[in-house]
Amino acid sequence: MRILVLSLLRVGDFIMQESIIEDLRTEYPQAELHLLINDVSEKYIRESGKYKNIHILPRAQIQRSLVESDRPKLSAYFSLQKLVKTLNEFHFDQIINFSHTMFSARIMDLLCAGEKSGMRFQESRVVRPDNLWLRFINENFSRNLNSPFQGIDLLRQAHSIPRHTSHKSPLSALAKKGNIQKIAIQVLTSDQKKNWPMKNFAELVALMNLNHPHLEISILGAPNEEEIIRQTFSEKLNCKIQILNWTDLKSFLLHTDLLITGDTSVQHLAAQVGTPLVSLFLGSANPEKTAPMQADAVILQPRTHCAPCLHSKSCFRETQICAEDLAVNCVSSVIDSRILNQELPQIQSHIWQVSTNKNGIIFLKKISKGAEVTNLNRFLEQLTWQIYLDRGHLETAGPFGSASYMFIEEHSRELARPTSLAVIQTGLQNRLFEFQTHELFIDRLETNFRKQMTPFLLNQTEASSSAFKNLLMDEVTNHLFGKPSGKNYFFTLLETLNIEEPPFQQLKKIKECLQESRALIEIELKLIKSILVELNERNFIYVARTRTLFDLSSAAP
Amino acid sequence: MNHLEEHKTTDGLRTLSRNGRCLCSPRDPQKEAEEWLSRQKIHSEDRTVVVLGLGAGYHLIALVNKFPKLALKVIDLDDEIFQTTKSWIELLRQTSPQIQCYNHESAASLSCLEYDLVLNFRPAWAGLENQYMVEYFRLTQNSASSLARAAEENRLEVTSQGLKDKISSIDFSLKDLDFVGADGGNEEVKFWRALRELIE
Repeated sequence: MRILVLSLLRVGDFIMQESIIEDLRTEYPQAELHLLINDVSEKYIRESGKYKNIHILPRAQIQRSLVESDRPKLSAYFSLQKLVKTLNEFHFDQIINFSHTMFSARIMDLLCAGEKSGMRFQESRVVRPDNLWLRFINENFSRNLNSPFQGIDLLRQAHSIPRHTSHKSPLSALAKKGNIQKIAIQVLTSDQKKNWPMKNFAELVALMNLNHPHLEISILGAPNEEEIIRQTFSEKLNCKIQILNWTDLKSFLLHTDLLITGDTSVQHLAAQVGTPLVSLFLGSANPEKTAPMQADAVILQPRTHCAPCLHSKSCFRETQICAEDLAVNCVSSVIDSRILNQELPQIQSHIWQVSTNKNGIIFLKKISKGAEVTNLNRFLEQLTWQIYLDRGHLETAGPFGSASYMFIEEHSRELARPTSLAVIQTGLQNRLFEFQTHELFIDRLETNFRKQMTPFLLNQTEASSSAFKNLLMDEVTNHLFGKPSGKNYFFTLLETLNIEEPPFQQLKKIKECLQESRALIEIELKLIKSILVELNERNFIYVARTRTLFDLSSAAP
Repeated sequence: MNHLEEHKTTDGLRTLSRNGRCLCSPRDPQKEAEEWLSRQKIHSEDRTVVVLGLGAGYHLIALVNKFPKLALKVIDLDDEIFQTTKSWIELLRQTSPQIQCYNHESAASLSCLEYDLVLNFRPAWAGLENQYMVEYFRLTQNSASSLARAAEENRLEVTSQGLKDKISSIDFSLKDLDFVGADGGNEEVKFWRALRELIE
């Protein structure tokens, strides 16, 4: 069996995807695994020595040929044709696309295989997958800035690749070792928007030199970054500059006790080798989508409204306000807490900590005072989406009992504290009330939709179509303005109302989106009710246990 | 008939003129070559470049010195130039695989897969500017008409047809390239649609 995996994104993405590629190998030990990657990832993959069948897409060269006036345009066409021809000669049994880009979807159209999965075109038309997870990647993950799932978890679910590995926390190993001695700092990322200013890093090093003189600090960089790093980190600072290739970097990270980094490939490599992490997510870096796959990793994110911004757009601000929001003393206090093995402090920026639920899916926990309700809502949303995308709600019994059991297990620590228990119970009650109003709203929306559908179908003019859509849009927006919780469940509906399409097609899509919103709201309602029942039963058992048997017998006359 | 004439700079460097027009700087051709080279966008991944215009050849020496691994295909539309320049440029006398020389006829056989970039050394075009521009467009396919012609030569029928109505457009971009009415299952169309995604 021959399998081709398309991983046509950047190095960091490939490093993250390595966990599912490994699991794919474990799942099909006899299969001949081939990789199609971008030229930017070639160095890393070759140096890693883990993969045999590598095919390189000369993406940069092709792009230059297409865009720069002094390069032959047809050579782009012929180099792509040559690559496709070579790949098709392997007669792959299965092709899996791990890159959710339009380009990769078009390449899928050009490649031949017995089975294809992932985003793809067929005869120049988009294939709308039956698999809801895949559809979620195509329609929600790529567009929506919020995501209940980390990108790799989504890919794994979408391609039904069983998990053979788990995201271990390196903190326990570190606790055994004792204190932190070696700290590394990756100062640059590939994107200017994601960089924390170099002078801030220099200040941070100075603070660490002062507060923790025993620390061995290293500044990491690639060969092309050496000059700028040497300019910033003068000899006055007590730190070493390490310019390393991928192989040396990996072994260096293995012997590092803590890495401070931006959202970059080095971060994902550190997560892979088990180096504890403090990551600074600036600009387009979105913790919900690209959080490092390492339990207990800490992510700092500014509170600025424009962050995370779109990856494809440059920063429109005069100054990089997200970087300004993340103050040096805040970052320093978080690092101090890691060094001294203390609880994470309260700072003005967001702090997230990576955890995994019982199914191994990454969950980002917000660390701040009063974050219980935020975490509760996020957890419920993730569970709801999971049930919906697995079509669990369509099963006879439904997974609500096991999901609520999982919720209680995950929140056991909070539920054991009476104050937290009260907050969670109130949070659940409030959410239950809000979702009941969402349910009523969906009822009304569907009735109105049916009423307006006939005149809309009768006069299929552009004016009637846009009036109809505007009316729906206003209704949904007004409703969500008052009740923003669960607004992600209306995302595809709002997106569909924004897109111009032929009336009949649009109508069909709106109907589908309404069904999706209804399903999601109903799932969450059932889930909350189930959790509340479970909580009440547990409390009842607790009270009953103190009063039964022994109490009763001792109280007997 | 072109009339080539040799000159010498004050430093004793040999230069050339054609019909009275200099084919490189008459004062400091080496400095001119260095400045020309600094303006070129040669990428580390480029393996082979075409140089349009040989002239007195100082720019070739600068190019070879800076990029010793780069293969050069030098095109000069004036056959006489090669004979003259060869006599004083050691690089051209060697049968080195690094530099290959082409005239108007042999250049026609160059396939677009044989080079990554086209560099124009305009001083050497003196008097033959129009012919060089035609050659430049042929090599880069940098206009709708030249791309259509190259596509036709390479038997890309849909591409050449798809470009027909774009030939008169001045600001042609591959982003505009679409195949209205073309069969979605056609391989050529699929390739161009994939390539267009890279520049969207």
